[in-house]
Amino acid sequence: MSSGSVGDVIAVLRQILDDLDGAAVAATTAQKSAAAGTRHYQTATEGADSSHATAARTQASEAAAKSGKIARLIAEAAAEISHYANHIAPGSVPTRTSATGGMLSGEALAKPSHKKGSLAAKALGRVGQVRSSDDGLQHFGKLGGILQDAAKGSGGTAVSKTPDFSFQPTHQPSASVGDALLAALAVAIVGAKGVELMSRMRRRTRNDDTKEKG
Amino acid sequence: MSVDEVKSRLREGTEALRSAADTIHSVRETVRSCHVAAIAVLTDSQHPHVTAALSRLRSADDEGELVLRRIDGGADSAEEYAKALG
Repeated sequence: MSSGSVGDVIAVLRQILDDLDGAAVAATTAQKSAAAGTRHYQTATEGADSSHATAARTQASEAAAKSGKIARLIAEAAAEISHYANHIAPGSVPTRTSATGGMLSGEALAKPSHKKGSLAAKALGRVGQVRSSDDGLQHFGKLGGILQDAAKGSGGTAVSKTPDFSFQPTHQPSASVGDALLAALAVAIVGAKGVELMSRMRRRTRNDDTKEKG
Repeated sequence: MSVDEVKSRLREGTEALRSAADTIHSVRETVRSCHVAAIAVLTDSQHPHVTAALSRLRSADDEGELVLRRIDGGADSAEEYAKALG
């Protein structure tokens, strides 16, 4: 998918940041639920001399702690992505830091705790037929077609690695960005092999571009 | 606390943990989608911010797996404890 202007990339990064904000809030909610479960277990097993009781309390407590760690990791990832977005297009997204948990304001917290698979749900509607596959490779042709359609739709120009100072923050994402995202998510759904697939298809598309231009 | 009260409290604990598990499952789905979408648009970028972001997302997904295992283990242990109470 060697396509898209800096504006297109920023539009996708904004969508990713939005989803990560929701996921971080959801992880914090999970942390609270697990902590509540831990308290119930502690109350129920108070004074009990039982390895099962100890295991229940300990594992519930660890689940809560790790859920909190997930929220922090997601917030840190969002902070890094926002830094990168502002590196390639200064001022394109509000600055955030992991120290603030990736949240910008009460706005993010006021949103539903977690949009049900916002990105993934869209992709599922489009490419649900590949979800049940055990081996994503057999869908290589189908996914490749989706990706190529996405690439065509966005003009096939290479992503600029240098800051594009003509970038307008008000730039509206083109329709092809959604297609490109769906294509990317289609690969996500088929599993770990998808990343490798994506890389292969990207190289192939790039080679095709080179041939056409050459 | 009576045996019935203990069992009831254990059930509440497990319900809360199962709710957390459902949420974490959804979180992982979003994290994975974002991970691959980021890889797709940040084509081959080796920028430190990009590699750091992708690393965090991978870790978040891995931690999600551990959370689900802990919840299963905790819930199983609570059930065993309840059974032992008779």
